[in-house]
Amino acid sequence: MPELIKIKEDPSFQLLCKRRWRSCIVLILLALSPFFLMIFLASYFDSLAFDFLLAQDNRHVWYFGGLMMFYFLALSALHVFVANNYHEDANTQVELVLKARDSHY
Amino acid sequence: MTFTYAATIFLITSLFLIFVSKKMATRTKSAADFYSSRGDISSFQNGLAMAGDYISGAAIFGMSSLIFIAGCDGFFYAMSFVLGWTVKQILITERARNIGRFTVADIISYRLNRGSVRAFTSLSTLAIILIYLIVQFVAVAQVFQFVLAIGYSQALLAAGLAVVVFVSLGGFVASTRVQIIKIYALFLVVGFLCGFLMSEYDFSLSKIFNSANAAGGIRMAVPLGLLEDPVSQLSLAVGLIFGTSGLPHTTTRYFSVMNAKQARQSAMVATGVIVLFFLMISLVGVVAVARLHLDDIDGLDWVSTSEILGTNMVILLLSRTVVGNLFLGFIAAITFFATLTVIAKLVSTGASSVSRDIYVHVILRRRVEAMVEAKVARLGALLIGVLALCFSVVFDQQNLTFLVSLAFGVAAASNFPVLLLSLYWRGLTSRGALVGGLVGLISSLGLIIASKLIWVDLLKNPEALYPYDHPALFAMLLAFATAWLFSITDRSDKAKRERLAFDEQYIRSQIG
Repeated sequence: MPELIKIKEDPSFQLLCKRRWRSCIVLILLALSPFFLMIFLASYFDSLAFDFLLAQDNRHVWYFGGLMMFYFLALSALHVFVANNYHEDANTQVELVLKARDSHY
Repeated sequence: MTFTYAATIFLITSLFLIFVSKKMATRTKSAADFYSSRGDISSFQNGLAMAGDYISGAAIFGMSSLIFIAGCDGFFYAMSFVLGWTVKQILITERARNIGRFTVADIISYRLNRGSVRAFTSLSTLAIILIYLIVQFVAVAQVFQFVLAIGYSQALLAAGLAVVVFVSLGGFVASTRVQIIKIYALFLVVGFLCGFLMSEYDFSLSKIFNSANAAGGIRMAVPLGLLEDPVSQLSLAVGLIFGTSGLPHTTTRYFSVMNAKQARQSAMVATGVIVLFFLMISLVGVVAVARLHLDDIDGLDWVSTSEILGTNMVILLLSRTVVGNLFLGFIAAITFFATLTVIAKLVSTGASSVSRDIYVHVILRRRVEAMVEAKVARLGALLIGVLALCFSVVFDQQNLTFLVSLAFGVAAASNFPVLLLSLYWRGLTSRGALVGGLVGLISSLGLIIASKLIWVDLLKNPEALYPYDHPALFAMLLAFATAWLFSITDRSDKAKRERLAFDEQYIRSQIG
């Protein structure tokens, strides 16, 4: 489909892809890093990583986990917000280009 | 009989829910009806249905029991399940929605060799679904065992019969609407249970955790498993987080909505529902530590202590002990129905794989009438169901969440690398996808067989060949490495065409 391939050079399409890449990488790093950091700390510093939590109160391990779940939910909502507000602008541009090309051909 | 009252309520409520499913069922008119909805449901409804597919017997029964047994380490599973869903939303949802149609194989084979890649994807899909189904059958059988006071083998037969009745009445076809009803019903009973439990502690989380810490000891305060064996926990986390992206039965829900915007909104709704549910079920587990004692368990003369402690029925035991037999009947019926709907969804996804991927695209290699395809799908459903039921006989002593994490491990090592590379890497060829995927599938299954679960507990060998419980960390890396190696060394004309076709797939995946 040569008409479709031509869209790759379209600035609106390139902008869309660039924005998606950026947001995808940032969100994935935000999602994975605290979780894997927790495992890393546990493996390298043994229980030391949890000492600051345990020193306060045993319950804080659970509260920390609960907050982490809401953090993942917030990231999920952020993904939808970013995509709906920033990706869709570029998407609309791409659709206009597609329509123009369809009418041309 | 102590539980006659609960058993009666259980049977009446279950029959009512199955009757409601029958009313919801519509006749199968086309392949689109059969595999997914026709794009006529809202993103909120689709999100509820997605969460319904994800919240299985493992989450309902296994999670609270795992926290009861393992304390903080059980909660680690819950966090991984939620993170896995978020990662899937960010990495896979939109692109998969834009280029897929009915099954995971449709996405992967968009620009790759349809025959071989479809054959691999359907094989891995069936392997994942089989393990997942075993878990659900064990869950349903243990509910029957607990509430109806019958032996495990009789309970398993009753579970098989219940699935046949449910599927033949149409719960299979109307799965989207049924999943929505399931989520509402599940939140109603588990929410009520949490409210009741919290009222016993004056709605104070501090009081609950103080009681649980006093009864549960060090396991409630420190994640012992994470500290003692971080490699195993890392492998578990990798399996749960990336395996979610490779699960075939939840991915197909993206095709039920009209566009990518609705798909990502559905995923967000599902994340919200999953977070709330896992928090509620974790609370049930924590209260169980504080409230359940051996005396409660010994009171059940037909269920041995090890069966309850080692496995899964903590939520039902807590309902009976704290709230009473009437509520036990209701919660058992609704959780049974919830598990039944997941079985229906799993069986329908497996059946789609057999009929569409294997029968139509690999064996016949030509289009067939929708009703012929549906007939093959029903035959496939029967075979998958019987196979899973047979395997369920030997896993009654295992925790369901642990068992389902193995299915996630297989998905992380087989479907996920191929799906991710096909969506994001131009260099992936059919040869790389096939070899990488098969290596991931075979190595993950091999490591499960060599682990303690099968090698020691089932085959009665003195020591496990693989020292960890979860295969994903090693098998997934191996799958990525072989997919990369066999792709970059592929110099064939076909490989060149497939690399060129990436541009078209990429544009389609971005704009739908």
